[in-house]
This record gives sequence, C-alpha cells and structure tokens, in this order.
Amino acid sequence: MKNCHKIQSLMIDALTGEITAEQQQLLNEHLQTCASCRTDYEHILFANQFTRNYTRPAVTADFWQKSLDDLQAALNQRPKTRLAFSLRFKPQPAKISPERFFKPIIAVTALCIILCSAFYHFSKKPDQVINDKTFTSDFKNIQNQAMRCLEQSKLLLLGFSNYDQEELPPSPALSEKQVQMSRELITRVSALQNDLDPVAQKKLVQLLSDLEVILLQIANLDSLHDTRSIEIIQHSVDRKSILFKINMEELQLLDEKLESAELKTSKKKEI
Amino acid sequence: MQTDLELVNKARLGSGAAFKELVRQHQQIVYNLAYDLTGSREDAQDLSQDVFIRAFERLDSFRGESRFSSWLYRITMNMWMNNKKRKNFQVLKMSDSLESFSDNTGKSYQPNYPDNPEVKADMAMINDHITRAMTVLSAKEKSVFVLRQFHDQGLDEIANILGISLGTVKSTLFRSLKKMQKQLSFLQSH
Repeated sequence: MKNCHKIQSLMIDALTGEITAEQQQLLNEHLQTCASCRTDYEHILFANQFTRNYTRPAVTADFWQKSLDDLQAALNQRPKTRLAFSLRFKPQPAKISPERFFKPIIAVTALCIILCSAFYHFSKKPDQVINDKTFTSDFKNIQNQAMRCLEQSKLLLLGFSNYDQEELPPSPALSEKQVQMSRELITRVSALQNDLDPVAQKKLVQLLSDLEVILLQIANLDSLHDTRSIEIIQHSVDRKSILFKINMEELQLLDEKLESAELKTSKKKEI
Repeated sequence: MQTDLELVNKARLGSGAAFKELVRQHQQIVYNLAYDLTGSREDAQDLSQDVFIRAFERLDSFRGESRFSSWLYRITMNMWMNNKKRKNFQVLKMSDSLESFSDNTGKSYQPNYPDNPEVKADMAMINDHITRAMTVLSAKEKSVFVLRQFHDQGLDEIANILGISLGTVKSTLFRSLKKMQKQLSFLQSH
C-alpha cells in the first residue's frame, strides 16, 4: 500500500505511453495485488477514453481571416509603436516622424502608470501597512495579508516584466521607488513564510520563497542603467513562471475566502 | 518555409508580414485552447485576441528556449487566470454546444457536426457531459487536463508551459481524471 502513490505516477505514464517495460511490469504486478489501485486505474482509463471524444464546434472558413482582421484593427488602434505602424494595411508616408513624438509620450505614460499604481497601493490603506507585530495566528488575517502581498508583488514584477529598455529611458527615481517597494515586500514575505503552515500551505510557502529571491535581486539593483541585472530579473520571472504561480495562488486564496463566506452565510441563515 | 524563430526575429525588426504569418500559423491552437478553457465562443475570441496583442507587446522576451506555441500557451493560461479573477467568466454555455449561435455580422449558423442527426445529437451530448464535468476541476487541474486531453501535450511540455514539476503534472492529471470519472460515472455502465 505504501507504494500506491508511486503507482499512481506509473498509471499516468502508462496512460500517456511514456512507460518502460520494467515499469509496466511493476504496475501490472501491483494491480494484481491492490484492489484500490485497480479500481483507480479502471476509473482513470474510462475518464481518459471518454474525454478523448470531446470535439469543438467547427468554425466557418472565413472565421480565421476575420479574426486576423479584427486583431489588425485592434493593433492599429493602439499607440503607434514601431511594429504597429508596419502592420497597417496601407501605411501613409508620415509627414512628421511618428517615433519622434510617440516614443517620449509612451515612455512618460508608462512611467506615470507604474508610479501611480505603486503609490496607490501603498497609500490606499496606510493603517493596513504590515509589520511583524500585526501578524497574528489568525488564519483569515494571514490569508488577507498573503493576498495583498501577492497582488503588490505581481504589480512590481509586471513593471519589470514589461520594462523595455529601448522604449523607456532609465530613471533613477523609478528605480529607487521599486527598490524601496521590494525591500518592504521582502520583510512581509519573510514574515508570512514564518506564519504559514509549511505542510498545509506548502505551495504558497514555496512560491513566497521563490518570490523572495527575485525581490532580493530587485532590492540589490543599483539603477535602471543596470541592464544586465534587469535582464536577469526578467529571466527569473519568466523561468520560474512566478506571475502564473501568483495567479494560481490568488485564485486558490479567493476560492477559500468565498467558501468561508458562504459557510458564514449559511450558518446565519440556519440561526 | 520559415521557422517560428525566423519569423519572430523578423517581426522584432518591424516586419508586420512576419507577425501576421505567426498569427496565421498559431491562431487555431490559441483559439482552441481559449475555447476549451472558457467554454464559450465569444470569450474564446476575446481571449485569443488579447493573447496575440500581449504576444505582440512581449515579442522581445521570447528567447527561443521553448517552442513558440508553448510560449503562446503560457500567455493564454496566464491571461485566462487574470480574466477569471476579474470577471465571472461564463464557464458553461450550452448555446455553443446545442444551439445555433450568431457571429458579429448577425449571420446565424450551426456547429459543423455531421449531417446524420443521431451522430450529431450524440456528439453534442458527449461534449455537454464533458463540459459540465469539467466545472468541478480547479483552475490548475483544468489547465493540466485540457493541455493533455484536448491538446495532446506531453507531460514534460505541460510542466514547461505551466512552470510546475513533472511530478506535480502527473499527480494533478491523476486527480483531475478521477474527478472527471466521478462526474461521468453514470455513463460508465452504459
């Protein structure tokens, strides 16, 4: 029975055809002796076979061309970057070089958005700024703090992820703000890691640990002139799929929150 | 024929034609994944358009370490997660599987099932059962399940797309198949 967990992995290998002869033999021997795994295997074989019958409603022949046209229209409506211009169907010769005017506007707009979102998130609820003392063992409180922490980290990482060194001029002020933000987040992330249950919330703890490494890289950033470090940070975010994992955890936390809210409502109704 | 990486490099240098070619080659897989995740034609169209706009903006970050299609899959998954949080995506839309629908031009048409009414009804019924059963899956289970069952992605590739370990992919797939079986068990005896 203690091997059942390993056998489940072999079942998936067998299902996908990624199994060696030895592993297949091991699986067969186990299935002969373990009724529970035998039932599990029959169940997943059925689910696998049945769901393979899934089909999508077909689309008309002109559907793909229409989608492409819609996409082009959407891209043409966007701020005119170098590539967007070249995607136009009938580009008109520009009387004034568009890059000369649009690049600085895009740069300033992007800077404003990043700075405003950072200010907004830090100044929105000053009474909720977290320090070590506010961390209680209250699960709900920790959950809320984790959600806020993930959301703010996501904003910070998105800023880096979207940062284009060719489009935006380096700004020491921007860098300073981001470094400051990352330092504050590191404190909160470390505190959260201590408060979370390392077994029950293993994934969240792992995510926070990965996040901490990236935040440390940002905190050690000298300036936005440090293009190599920025590339390393962008690469870390991509490689560890941090943004995807944050999304996953946020959804999980949201689900848990909704469930407890529903429970509360039903209890109230019972009363 | 040019490879994806060649097209990406040209698009980076400003070639609109190269980017259009990339979209043309991958729009079907992106739309299909979007449809499988959202369960609705309208949402799938919106999501796939957003995915290509995002890909267009982030083309510079594609380093060619993975396949371009895997990169697009990952963007699709991320954007689906974000949308799922932002608004209540209508996961189950019976209209797409059983009824006719109309596109933006107002032209109404039927899903292209075979002409035989019995086969057509069976296929619609099977899709309906599967789509309903999928609503019990968590976002992560659904991501793994859809990539494996409907997009034939290998386990390693799924791990790469979702940024999770191979062991997690296997245990998640096992769990999702068991959940699906539980939902579809009433059909098992037939």
